[in-house]
Amino acid sequence: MIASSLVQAQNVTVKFRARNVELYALKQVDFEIRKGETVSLVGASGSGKTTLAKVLLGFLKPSEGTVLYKGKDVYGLKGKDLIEFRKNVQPIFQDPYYSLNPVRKIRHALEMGLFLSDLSKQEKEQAIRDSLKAVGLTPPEDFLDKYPHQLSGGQRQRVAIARAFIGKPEVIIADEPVSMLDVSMRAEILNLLLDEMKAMNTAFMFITHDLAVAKYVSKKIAVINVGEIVEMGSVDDVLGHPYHPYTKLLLGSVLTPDPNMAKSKLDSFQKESMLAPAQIPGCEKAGIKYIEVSEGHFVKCS
Amino acid sequence: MGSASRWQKLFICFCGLKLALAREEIDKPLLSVRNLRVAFKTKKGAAYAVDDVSFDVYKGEVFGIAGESGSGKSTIGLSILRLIEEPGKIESGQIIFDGKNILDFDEQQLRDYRWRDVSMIFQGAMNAFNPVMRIGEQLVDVMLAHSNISEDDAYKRATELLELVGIDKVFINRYPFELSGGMKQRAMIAMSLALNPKLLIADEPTTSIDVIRQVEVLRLLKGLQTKLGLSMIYITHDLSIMAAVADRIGIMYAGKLIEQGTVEQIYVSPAHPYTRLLVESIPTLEGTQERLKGIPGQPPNPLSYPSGCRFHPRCPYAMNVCALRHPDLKPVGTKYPNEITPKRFVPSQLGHYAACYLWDKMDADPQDPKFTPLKPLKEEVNLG
Repeated sequence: MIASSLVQAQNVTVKFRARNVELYALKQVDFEIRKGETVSLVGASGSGKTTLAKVLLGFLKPSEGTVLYKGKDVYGLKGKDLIEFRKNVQPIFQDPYYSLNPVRKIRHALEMGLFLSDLSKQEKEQAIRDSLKAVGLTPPEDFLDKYPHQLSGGQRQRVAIARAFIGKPEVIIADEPVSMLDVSMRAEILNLLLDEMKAMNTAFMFITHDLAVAKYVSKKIAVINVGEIVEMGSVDDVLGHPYHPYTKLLLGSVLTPDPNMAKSKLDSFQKESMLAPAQIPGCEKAGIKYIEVSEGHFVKCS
Repeated sequence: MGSASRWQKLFICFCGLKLALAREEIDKPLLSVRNLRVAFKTKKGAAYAVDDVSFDVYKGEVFGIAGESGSGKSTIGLSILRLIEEPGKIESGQIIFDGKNILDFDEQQLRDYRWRDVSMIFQGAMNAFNPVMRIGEQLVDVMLAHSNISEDDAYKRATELLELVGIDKVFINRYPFELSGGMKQRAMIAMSLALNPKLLIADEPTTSIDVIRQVEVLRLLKGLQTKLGLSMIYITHDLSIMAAVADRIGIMYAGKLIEQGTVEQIYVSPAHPYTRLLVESIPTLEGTQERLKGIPGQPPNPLSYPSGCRFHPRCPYAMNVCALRHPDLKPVGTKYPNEITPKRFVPSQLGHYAACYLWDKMDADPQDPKFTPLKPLKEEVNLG
């Protein structure tokens, strides 16, 4: 099991100093992405979702704890190992308006995705065309020489997806990839991500604030609140039998496009009673931080 | 006995009259928007953000306007308060509030109308406060600008309002930065209710706050609307929020109102392909992990709308006629076209309107070339 772990955060803490107060963006978080696995990280704004993504991507060195890529410390990687890591762990960001260089053509964005590969020139050209076709930007010639501002938000996000997948990475970390898009295009982009992931057997970490989207894209889910993972397990376990009060509160605040259900959910929403500390079996013993309530389903005590 | 029955008759007569009057009161819309057309002048020509839109809002109901960004929903909200500024212009149409066309109002009439009759919670309400003025001052400011209230009374009213939305009155002397995002949202709601408006326009009041606070704000807003008997226009792109707050809904696409009906009609038996596809493209907690059907393509550019029905390049059921002329909004029958037959029917189809030629096709000759499927042109299918 441990062998299949690709990127792993161990006991990671991230502190920010604001004036004289220390703020914890992440508090002793353990998290891993395994080979071929899809896991969603769900939480409200300010919960530390994006910070964890940055830590895992090697963009932000944690104050404490280690991040491992195939057993090696990410922040100590050098030379070939670092290239290997960068090639195999790719991000997709939230806002396609900022994640593409505005003065460079689409071709350049995709070439950069192949910067670290050792393909020949012709092979690279072919890979670029194929990747555009795969994300539905056809014919590729129409898009290769365009600048980002000539594309719509949805098309840009497709380019960002093509760039992330072009080097055939092992892990994709996507931070709210559909929240900036129009409602009518979200399903298409989600389907595209799922298809690409399946075709390449990529491991996938999906960051979102929307539990319904998390359920749609992933098999595993982790709920994060104020820098701590409060519940983690399979989608069916966590959403079907939530233990932690915060998970219950989140579930209670997800509305549905169905008038009767949405209205009754709004009427029955009671923050205080939902946040009442629950008795989690097995948490009575002192010093226990997480308890495994069923196989692979972890809940934070207290 | 005789006299008693006479009294009874009189009583019944009186009740009937009262009922009839009440009925009249209910049936008369508070706000009627008729054939509204709003254009924004640009270097590349005029962009019609709102094109020939008509709808009514009745007393005590929440009318939702749903649509994607750029569909014109916010422009409708601004038009109702006559807040459209250059280069935008209300080109034609009528907006009738309480029997008066507000497009004919002069400055003084507008001042009396705004905030006192109709008020608005703006998009991004969290940043709508002046950062260097105390919350109380800003509430009082609005009241002084739009009514003859004395300053002392205005302060009293401000305290009441903050309590109404669940903010402690000590915050009256605080600056906006001292309030949390959720509190600012509440203060904004308090401000919109300052002069007891009859109609409240809420334009995406909960975007940019997280899901939990969102539900709290929605509960507050819906609770106040019921308690005060307010009419409300709720504008959002989020169909889940819409389902929770609205009584009736209008769906906007590319400046046109393409469907209108009660929440049940819209969500359970949608009569326009766009509405149906949109509702089905949203992942839900209750649903299975079945593959979602998306809508191909992207919303059109307001400077170059497609000919005919503006949805036809993305519509899986597009016919030849769809590219010729935009369909009119027509009442929806109980028998649906095969293409969009809903899984479940809403019993009464009254008040349900849709603009789609599929409804005309049902009564037409099946050989009519107008109603044969449109071959999608490669150039027109622009994947977004």
